[in-house]
Order: sequence, then structure tokens, then C-alpha cells
Amino acid sequence: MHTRCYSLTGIMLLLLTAGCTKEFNIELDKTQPLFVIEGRISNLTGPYYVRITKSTNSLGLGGGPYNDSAEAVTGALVTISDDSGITDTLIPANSYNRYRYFYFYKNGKVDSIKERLPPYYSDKYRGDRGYYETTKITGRPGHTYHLLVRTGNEEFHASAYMPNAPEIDSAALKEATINAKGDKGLLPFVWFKEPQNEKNYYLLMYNPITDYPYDNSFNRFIPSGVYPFYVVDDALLPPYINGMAVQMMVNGHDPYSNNYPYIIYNDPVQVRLSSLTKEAYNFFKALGRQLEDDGNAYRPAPSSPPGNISGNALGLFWATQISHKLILR
Amino acid sequence: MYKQFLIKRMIPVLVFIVTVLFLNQKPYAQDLTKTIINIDLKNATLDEALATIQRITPFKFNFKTADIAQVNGIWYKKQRVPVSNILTDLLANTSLQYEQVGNYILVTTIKKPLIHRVTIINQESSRNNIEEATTGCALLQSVTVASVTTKKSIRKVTTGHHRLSINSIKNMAMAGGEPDVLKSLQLLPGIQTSAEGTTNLSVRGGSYDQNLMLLDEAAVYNPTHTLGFFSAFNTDALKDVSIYKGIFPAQYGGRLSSVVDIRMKEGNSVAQKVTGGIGLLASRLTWEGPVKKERSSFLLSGRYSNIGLLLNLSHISNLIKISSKDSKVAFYDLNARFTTQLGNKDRLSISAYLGHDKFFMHLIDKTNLMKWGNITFSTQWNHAFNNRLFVNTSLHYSRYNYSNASFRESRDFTWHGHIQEMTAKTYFDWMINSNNHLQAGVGIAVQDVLPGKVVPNNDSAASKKVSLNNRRSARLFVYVSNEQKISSRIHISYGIRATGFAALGDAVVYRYNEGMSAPIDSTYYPKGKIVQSYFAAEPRITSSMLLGNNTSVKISYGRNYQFQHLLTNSSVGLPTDMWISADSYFKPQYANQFATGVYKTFRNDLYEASIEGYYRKSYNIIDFKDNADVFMNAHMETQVLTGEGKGYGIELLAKKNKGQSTGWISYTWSKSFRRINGINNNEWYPPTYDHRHNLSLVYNRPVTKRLHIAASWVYRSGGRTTIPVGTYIYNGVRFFYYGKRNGYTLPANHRLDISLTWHEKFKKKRKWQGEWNISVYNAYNRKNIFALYISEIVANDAKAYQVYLTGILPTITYNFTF
Repeated sequence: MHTRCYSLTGIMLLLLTAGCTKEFNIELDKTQPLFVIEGRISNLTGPYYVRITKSTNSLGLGGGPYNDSAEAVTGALVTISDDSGITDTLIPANSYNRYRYFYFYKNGKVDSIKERLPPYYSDKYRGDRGYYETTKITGRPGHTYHLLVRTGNEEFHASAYMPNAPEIDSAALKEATINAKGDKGLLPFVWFKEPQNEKNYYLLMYNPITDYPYDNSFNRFIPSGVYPFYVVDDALLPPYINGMAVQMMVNGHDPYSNNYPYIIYNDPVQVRLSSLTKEAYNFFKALGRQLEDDGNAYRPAPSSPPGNISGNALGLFWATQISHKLILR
Repeated sequence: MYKQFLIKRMIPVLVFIVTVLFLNQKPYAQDLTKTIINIDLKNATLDEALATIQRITPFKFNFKTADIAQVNGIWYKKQRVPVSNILTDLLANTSLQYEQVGNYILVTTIKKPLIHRVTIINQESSRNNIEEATTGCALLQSVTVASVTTKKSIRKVTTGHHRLSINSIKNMAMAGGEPDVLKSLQLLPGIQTSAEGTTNLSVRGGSYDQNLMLLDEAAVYNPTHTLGFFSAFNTDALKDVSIYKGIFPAQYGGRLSSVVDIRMKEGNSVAQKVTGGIGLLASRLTWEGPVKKERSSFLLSGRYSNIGLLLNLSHISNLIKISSKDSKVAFYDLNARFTTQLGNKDRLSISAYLGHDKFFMHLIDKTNLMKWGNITFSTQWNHAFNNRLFVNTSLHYSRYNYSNASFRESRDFTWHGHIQEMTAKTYFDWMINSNNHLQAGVGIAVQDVLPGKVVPNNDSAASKKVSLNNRRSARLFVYVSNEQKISSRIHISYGIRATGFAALGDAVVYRYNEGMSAPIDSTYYPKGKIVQSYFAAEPRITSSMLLGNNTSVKISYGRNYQFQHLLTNSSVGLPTDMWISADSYFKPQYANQFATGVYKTFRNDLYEASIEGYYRKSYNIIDFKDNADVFMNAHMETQVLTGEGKGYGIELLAKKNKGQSTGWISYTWSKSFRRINGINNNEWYPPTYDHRHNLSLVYNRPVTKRLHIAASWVYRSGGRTTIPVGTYIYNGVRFFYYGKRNGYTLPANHRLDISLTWHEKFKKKRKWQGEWNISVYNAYNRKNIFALYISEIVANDAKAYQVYLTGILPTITYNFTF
């Protein structure tokens, strides 16, 4: 072999403009809007809410994070009945002149104050936004609930069974790695026993302390990009969950949502562990998937979340036992 | 509006390329008799001798490797002689002749040498038989036939077959100046990629898992680096690549759509040689030489790339608008080959491949670090009983590992999967007489697939170790085929391949309720017990008829079986895709294909043209249910739906083989459909890779003695994707609901790639030869759609976004040899 060595000077010339995204004009097929029904009943304090809206053919209506752009369906008959014979006819929740207790943590004590509900509504959106609230029914684990919605000539049904949720042993805030970069942040963690002999599905989320005994799933508008329903199936869970991070779902394509949401404020936090049926798990899983991926070449073909409302309506009615813990600080 | 704009932009480019390609350029040929050189050849092969002349003269040689492979052991020393004299001397006593066309010197066989005629210089005859046996065996049936004649495409019996030499691949304009075997195949008719810039192949309307990728006959399950942007093969270590579209010779089986047969190069058996290249995207180094002169040789070749480092440079990450500088995108691959003569009638070759990738890029997937790699190992032993009967026995091992480490605090685990295959086979090659060439073989393959295993990353993680059952299977195959000359004009090749397949225990087989939603019963099969078996017979027949001297017509039929399915989550090929072998629920997929074509050469083989049409129908193909959950799912069969597929198309190819400028135009019109029970109301629907029109132009030309230009232009009509039909609010966030799967046609892609190679001035005393390559990918900076997604970045205001891989991408590579 010719052994003379020649030093190779580095060759570094780069005008790389790789991998970008740009907006793409897309026209959706003009199809009939569908009814959308979202409803939940739990073992927490009511009222429980059902919301009826309509879908749209447009991708978005604009207006920013706190703009509720859904077309509300008002004047519907909504009932929830349970398997013990109770039927509750829901009333429209134009709730700006209703009062409720708001909780806080001060001087080592959890306290509450009575306030008008809800403080998040701007003046513009007060009024009937398609919410209906229960008046008397209470959710109990192990029971099945039936939802009926009648609007115009259309009638929709859904049933939901409330599975049991394990007790949370403890919950704490812990410094944790919050992204691939290795950044640290505070995340709530939970400890609980996982029954290994049955198939379970869970939803984990955290709330500010303000409404901790209430079910209250619909009175807040959540800025998009973050979706508070993180679901797990027990296939990979050990018998004892020795500290599991509670995370938010983040919109996967948002180039600015680099970090997972983590707790930066000093508020106390309530951690909720909700039990799910397989049906509800599949629905939330599919919703979560839409935030992670939407027809990207690296993902499966996107598909509609499999709801449980009969009569060609979108959405889900579900029942859940929620076990919860406060992390006070 | 958009179309008009598109056409406006296309036309000038098209006209330019077509004009350049077919204009009769004014030659500036130099006279062979007036170019005087000094030459000193010591035990060189003809290939090396011609390369030496090429290096020190402006002439370029054009020949078929198979034609000149027999000539070696040349000792030749002359001072100040014309090139013409040297060529006459070198080709004396061989069956070869030369002809000058411009600056090209075509070395061809004289008339029609018989395939068994052995040409010898300083060689014993029996050894050349072995040489030839290996060529005959190592290459393919049809290639062997092809080497009989110069009128290659018209005389071959097979339809839908292409072969590219490594040199021609290296001469194509490629992204990053990195020659790529699989991407070069995409420029041929009937072969497409499902996403721009990636190496995966969709052949005649098949999905990308239906291609058998062979490296020295060992199957490679993930032939990609960097999620498909590079193929897993380093071209410096390769000899050539062949592809069969749909109808294969009987020796191949196991896939529906194509066989891509990649052969590693043998080391130089005469002198040591180092070649390499330093590029922005990848660097490579190859060392080859004799172990024992002329009897055994080795080749070691490696390639390394760390694109992640580049991406993390701050001005680049700003340009790409990725918010993180923590990309990890790197790969390496190693090839090794050892070849030796054992006595006069035997030959042994051992080759190995090892490749590994790691990939994390925020833009693509912000929660997982993916790692994957292939290992293959092949041992081949050729024996010549006499100059008509050869046997080739080989042992192959192949393993594909893939893993996925999640960064999420709540999913702190690593997922692993693998597929491992061992094959032992032997086959005979018997030239019975001048009219019959019989091939027969038998083999066994055993396979082990780990569909998934989860290992917690640390003790306190909220996950446990879980592993799905390995799936084991065995295949026993036997085949026989004969190529028969019925008359001087009619050739027919017929054969059959029979395969017995068995899914083996230990395995648990579930029985399900009617809707396949819940298991109601299960059966356990202990280790080694047959869970399910299948038998497959694959007849293949092709015939060709010569019409006149320059035209032929061919017709063919073939049936193929595939005993594996790829459960893929993407249209690109990801390490999260899972291979599943056939079992009680996953039936083997199979396809019938018919093809016919007309082939013609013009002006003494200067141009060739062909038109081929095909129709294929496939059965037992799969697709996912809506919202399928395949992650660590022991009931995978419940997430999958089965059905059938069909496709048809017309492929046109016009090629200029010789002369100053070479290149081709290929055009494909095709349609592909599938009908899966449970998807789109059981109606026929197009797969994502259904592209109606495909046009490629490939162009190559030396500009001056030292400057070479290559360009390629591709146009591909848009693939299919699924988009929402509407949106709705759930819990304050806007979500989508969808209509028909793959109901939306994406806009078309087109792109021009240019590459300029500049050879350093040849210096007599220096052994070091260098060349600079500047390549420009996507020269007119078109933002071709790679993927389309819809996302609600601003609440209540979802928008559609297209991902495009790269704008104009110029790169520099320095290649050397010494």
C-alpha cells in the first residue's frame, strides 16, 4: 500500500435549510355539521355538566385561547338516569349569577370563599353556551348512568359505567426531567396500588386547589396546546406505582411547546386519579393522539375518536370514580 | 390555478433536460493513436488496466463488468506508446473488441461469445471455470443470460428487471453527494418512494414492506439510515444492484413486490487500495487488497455520519426553526468481505455487514430516542463439478434490532424489538445443453421475532418489565427452473418454487368473540410444536420473442407469497414498525402478477426503449383499524383488518447507453387500490403511495477532461392522505373528525438535483487521486410536501401545515483513492 499520508483539510461549507413547515391551504368537504355531546358524571360533588354543541366544516374559527368558538345548542332536553331509578333533568347552566365555594390554602389551612361562578368567563361569553347541569343526581362507583338528549327531532343516547379507582396513597411535587434536553421542572407525582388481577385504565390530571371537592369539568376553558387528559392503561404498570409523574398532553407539532407544562407557580395542587372504562380510555387516547400527530408521515392514518353517543353524534359521555390528593405548600 | 402554475414551472425544466439529453453534441474526441502514454501493469486485471489508462488519459471506458471479468493476470510494460496500441495488445487473444465513440471507448464482446467460453490470459482453464461459475451463480439467472449479448434488454427473458452498476449509481446526482443504491432505483420506471427524500420503495403499487432487500443474499429488514433519508448501504463496498419488479426468477421468494439484490464488492486481489470520501453528511473509508495475491482478498469499508452535530449548530437550528439544539442524528455502517480460492474448483466468500443508527429530532418526535441496526453475515461456497455444472451452498444470518427510549417521566422505559433469521441453502446451476439451463435449489430458514419488550429505565420508574411472546417460524423451500431456447427467436423460462411454512411454539393462540373485541379462550402450544402451517406454490413463467434484430416482445406471469406482515405506523418506515410472521390469524399474503412489454434498441444499442404494462392482484394484505393500538399488544390480530389489493400501470423507459452524454427518461402511469373489510365502507381506496404519474430524467456528461456533470429531475403526482371533514370542541380544545381514509390527494412533487465532479489533476508520481463533488439537491428550491398535518397551535384556530424536508441543499464531498 502506498503509505504516504496527506492531511485532509476540513471541508465545511454549509447552506443548509432543512426541514421546515409552512401553512397549507386546505378545503374541507362541505358536510352537514354534527351534534357534539360531552358529559361526565363522577363521585365528586356535583353539579355535573353536559354540553351540546355543533361541529363545523372549518378548521378553526379563530379568536384565541379563551374564545369559545363552538356553536352552542340550547333548549335541548337532557336527562341523566341511573340504574336505581333516579332520573335527573338537567337545567341550562347560564351560571354567571350562581354562587359556589372557591378553595385556597393560607396560613397552613385549606379555606374557602363563596363567589360567583365562573370567574373565567369574559362578559362576551356569559350566557347560555350549551351547558346543562344536574340538579340532584350523585355519581357512585359500580353503577351505570344513562344520558338522553333530545333536540328538535333528534334523540341521542349514551350509557356509561363508573369503574372503581384505587386510592392515592400520597402525592408530592418532585423535580423531574421535563423534556429531552434534560431540563428540570416541578411535576406532581402519585403513589398508589395497582390491582394486577384486573384490567384497568386511568386518567391522571392536576388542578389548582380552587375547586377541589367539585367535579367541575367544564367551567374552565383550557388554553389549547395543552390538554389535561393523560391516560394510561395498566399493561405496563407494576403492582405498586412508586411515584408516577402526572403530565399534561402537549400538542406535538407546536414548535414553541418545547417543554412539558410543569408547575412553576406556588399554588397548592390537587392530583386526580380517575378510573376509566376501555371505551373512555380509547376515546381520550385518540384525542391525545390528535395532539401528538395528525397525519404526519411518521404516524398512523389519523382517525376519528371513537365516541359512545348513539345517533351519529360526536363526543363521549363517561362516568368515573376520582380519587384525589392535595399537595399543599 | 395551481396546476397551471405547476405546468408553467415544469415546462422549461423539462425542455432543458430533454434538449440537453438528446442533442447531438459536438464531440471533442481525442485521437487514440495520438495519445501517447507510459504504462506499467503488474499482474493486473483488465478492469484495473483500463482504470489505469482512464486515469492518465481523457478517455472513459464503457464495458460490462461481466464481459471483462475473465481477463486478468496482465503483465505489461511499455514506454511512450499510443493508447490504441496498448488496447490492441490487451485485448488480443480475448473475445473483446474496442470502439471509440467521442471520448468514450466501448469495450464489447465480439459477436456472440457463448456463455461458457472461457478466455484466458495466464490462467489455467479450470480456474476460469470457477471464476465463471461464481459469476454465473452470484449474479442472477437473467444477468448471466444478459451477458451473452450486447442487446441486453431485448434478449433478457425476464420482464421488469433493472440492474445498476455502482459506477452508474455514483454518477447520479444525489442528496448530499452521497451515492445511494435505493434512491437511484427510484428513478426507474415502476418504482416510487412514498415520501420524498426517503429510501423506501413502492414497487408497482406494493407497500414498502413487500420488497426483499438482499445484501449478499442475506435479508436486510430495515435498509435505511436516518429514518429513511439514507439507505443502509455504503456504495464504496458494493458492486451492483439488481431489482426484479413483481415477477422473480424461482430462486427468489418471500416478498410480493420486488427483490432488490445488492452485491458486495470483492477486494482487490492484486494490490492494496484505499478509497474514501469526506462529506458534510457522511464520510467513508474503504481498504481492500490481497491476502494472498490472486487467490484471496479482503475488503473493509466503513461509513460514519453525524448530522445531529450539524443540526445543533445554532445558526442551523435557527434556520430550521427547531427550538432545540439537542438533536441526536448519527449512524455508522461497516462492511467486510473475504474471498478466497480453495484449490482449483472451489471458492469461498465470507461477508458481513453491521449498521447502527440513533435518532432523536425534536421536529419529528420529541419524546423518543430511536436506535436501530442490522447485522448480516453470509458465507458462500461455490464448487464447479465441471464447466457445465456448479453448486453454490450458503449460510446467512440476519438480525434487525430496534428500540425506542421514551423521555417522558411517566413512561420512563425503553422498548425493544428484533427480528432474526438464519438461512441455509444450496443450489445447482446446470447448463444441460446449449438450449437448456436448469437451476434447482433447496433451503431452510428459521426466524425469531420479538414483537415487543419493555424495560424500565430505572428502578423507581412507574413501569415494569413486560415482554410479548417471541414468534418463531420455519420455512422450507425448494425450487426448480429452466431457461429454454425454443428457437433462435423464442426463449422461455419457467419454474416453480414451493414453500412450506410453519409458525412454531411456544405460543398462546387466542380465540375471540364475534367482533374480535375480546378473547374468550386460549390454547397454549409448547416450544417447537407447530401452531399453524401453510403451503405455497409459486409458479413463474416468462417468455420472449425476438422480432427482427432490435425488437422483442415479452410476456410473463408470476405468483409470490410473503409470510410476514409489517405492522407499520407510518408511510416511511420507522423503527417502531413491527414485523409479524404468519400465524393462525395473519394469513400469508400472496399476489398474482401479469406483465408484458415491448423492448427495442436503436442505432447499434446506442439507445434503448421499452414499454411494459402490468396488472397485479394481492390477497390477505392488512391495514390497521381506526385508532389501532399496537403498542405492546398481545392481541395484535384484533387491531388489524385484512383485504385485497390491486394495481396496474404502464412503464416507459428511453435510455441512451453510450456516448458523451448518457441517461434516461422513465415515465410510469399507475393506479393502486386496496379493499379492506371494515375500512371506507369496504370500498376500494388508494393507499398513501398511490401516485398517478411518475417522471424521472437522469442525465450524465463529462464537460471537460476533469469536470463531470450529472443531473436528475423527478416529477411525481401527489400521494394520498387522510384529512378531517370537520372539527369540534371537546373540553375546550378543538379536535378533528375524519372521513374516508386516504381520501385526499396531495400536491405533486418535483425536484432537480445537480452534481458536479471535478477530478484533481493527475500527477504521474502521485498515487493519490482526488475528486471534489459539489451536489445541489432541490436546485430550484421547491418546497415539496413531505407530510401534511393539521394542528391547533393557536387555540380554536387549527391550521393545516405541510412539512418539507429541505429547500436547496448544496453540499461538498471530497473523494480520494490511493
